[in-house]
Amino acid sequence: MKAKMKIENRVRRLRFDHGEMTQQALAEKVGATRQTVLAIEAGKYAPSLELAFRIADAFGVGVEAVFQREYVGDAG
Amino acid sequence: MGYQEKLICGQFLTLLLVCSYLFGVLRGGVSLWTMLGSIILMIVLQIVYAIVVAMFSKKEDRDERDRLIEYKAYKVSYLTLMVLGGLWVWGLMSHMFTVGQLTSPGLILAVWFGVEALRTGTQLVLHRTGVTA
Repeated sequence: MKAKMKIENRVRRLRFDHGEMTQQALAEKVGATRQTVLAIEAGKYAPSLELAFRIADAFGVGVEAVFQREYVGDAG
Repeated sequence: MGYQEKLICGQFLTLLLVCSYLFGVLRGGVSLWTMLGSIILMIVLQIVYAIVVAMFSKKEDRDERDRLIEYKAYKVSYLTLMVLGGLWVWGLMSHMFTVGQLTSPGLILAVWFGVEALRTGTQLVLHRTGVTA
């Protein structure tokens, strides 16, 4: 049975590390709405690969430094 | 509440307003002209509401999440419309209802508004609860 993937992120932490960057500022930088940034931070929305890369670029880090995956349930 | 969510909220509320007038005050006894008039009234109300929202809120373009939510909501309303279409055909074929009953402006308007309310309502719920691809 395929294990369920849970995607977690460090967007809130990275915003804090970048001089308390606001959600609005990040949203404008990546071309999304503030609600989308809010939903990503709350784990209510998993962004597309393109948006994930844009967010990583906004913080100057790799995408894996922003998004982490965790397998829940049986693997393999 | 975001800009797009406010616009959808306006669509939903104007829909409910026109619906409650048509089916509450007029009790569904609508003519073709009332039907057209109510659709035009609803569009005008939605345009006025969108102008008011644009005046008092920061305009934001739709992004991928808004489009995904819209797509999911359209899917729900499309499937509902398909089921209702199937019931309509079944009602006609089984002679349970007459052609006149099934083509009355009141029924057509109720289905139209119902499906639209479902679409906008689904969008509002998904904006709040979250959405996955």
